[in-house]
Amino acid sequence: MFLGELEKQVLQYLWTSPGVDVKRVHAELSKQRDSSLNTVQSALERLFKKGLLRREKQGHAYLYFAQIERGDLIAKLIDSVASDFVSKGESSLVAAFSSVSSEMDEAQLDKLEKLIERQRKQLKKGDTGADK
Amino acid sequence: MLISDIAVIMNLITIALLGFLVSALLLSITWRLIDKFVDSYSIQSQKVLILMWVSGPWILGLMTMLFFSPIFENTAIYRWVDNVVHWHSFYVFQLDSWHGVTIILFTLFSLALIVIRGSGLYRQGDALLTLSHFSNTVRGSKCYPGLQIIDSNIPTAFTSGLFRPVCYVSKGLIENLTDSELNIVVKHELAHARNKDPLSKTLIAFLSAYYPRKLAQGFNAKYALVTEFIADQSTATVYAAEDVAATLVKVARLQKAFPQRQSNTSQSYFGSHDITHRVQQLLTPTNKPMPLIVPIAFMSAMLCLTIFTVDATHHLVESIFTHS
Repeated sequence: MFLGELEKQVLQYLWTSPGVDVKRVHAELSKQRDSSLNTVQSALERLFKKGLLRREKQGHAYLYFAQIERGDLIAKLIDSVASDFVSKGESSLVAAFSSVSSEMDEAQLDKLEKLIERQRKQLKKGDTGADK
Repeated sequence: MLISDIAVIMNLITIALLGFLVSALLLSITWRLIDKFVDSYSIQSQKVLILMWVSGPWILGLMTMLFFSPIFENTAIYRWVDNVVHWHSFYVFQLDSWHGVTIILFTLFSLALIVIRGSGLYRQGDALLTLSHFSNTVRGSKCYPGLQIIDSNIPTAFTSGLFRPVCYVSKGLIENLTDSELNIVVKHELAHARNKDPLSKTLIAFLSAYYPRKLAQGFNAKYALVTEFIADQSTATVYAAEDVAATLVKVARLQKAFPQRQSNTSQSYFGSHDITHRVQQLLTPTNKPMPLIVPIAFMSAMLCLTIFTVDATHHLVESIFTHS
């Protein structure tokens, strides 16, 4: 998901101030950067087409709302970072600590925990035996 | 028609490509035969085998080219090889011959691969930048300089970046782990960064793309697992292997419990057996090394076979098509 710098700022603003029109977005963002009203309008349009915003018509203007929550977008981005090669079993850019398949059920995890516990006990037993 | 030194170079490239294709075929067949036995050897041996297999076609192709090369025509070994295998019309090359078509197809395939892989890497890099922007990623902390903390409740930890790998851990994971467990996760990720695993995985993914798709996926999955084993082992030199294994299971549980609606991050990263494999490898590591002489002897045999097959293929195809 490609997002330009301005698009990121627009989205960030709409998460904190939903339901605003292009003029309001422009007024807010012009505090941080020098962008024309048209540029901001284009960024809103692009985000709308990407499905990241929704809009409601009020009078002559559109009011914009973020269509995706910040947490959900972050989740999608983490997915994108890991997904390109991952889904094909070709993970490359990412080395994750743990990744659990949806096929891995609780029973399998329980089994692994028991295996670890058994090993711990055996080691403890061995240590106690050695001490004696 | 090219005549002269350029023709020699083009013929040598054709030989290298034929050697490449023949050895890729031979190595594909042999990997299918040995695949199930590879797991019984030590992690380092497994890594060496995968590296040899994915780089094998390139090395064998180049060596085949050297054996045919007229550069060494005054040497005794060349005269000996020339008695057995040889290449006709070294100083003549036609682009519209099967030689030329082989070079063009290979070049097009390689270019397409570079574009596809490159754009994939670019997309991932871009997603990572956007992630850092939105998640208020905190660079470093007192305890873990170099670690980036992602402001997200998704329990995840990963290392990313080709040349300067960076480790990321989410707040969702930090909040659910004890200090000792978090240290294990961080040590594991730092091991990935130290070993430049994202880069080596990318190289393996690129090299293995010249193999049939299913086999390439197998190489990548196995290599990814080997890098996990090595990072796990590195962590197990500081912490008890059982603690590392228990942390692995705990993180898997946290990921499992996390609502899938919000993310299926890493869910498809490994097959369900990979955590099982990693836990088993931590508890009972396979230490049986494969003597280096075995793969070296095997590759030497492959080289001989490749050279003879290239010669035979050349003669066979030449009987159907000609250079002109």
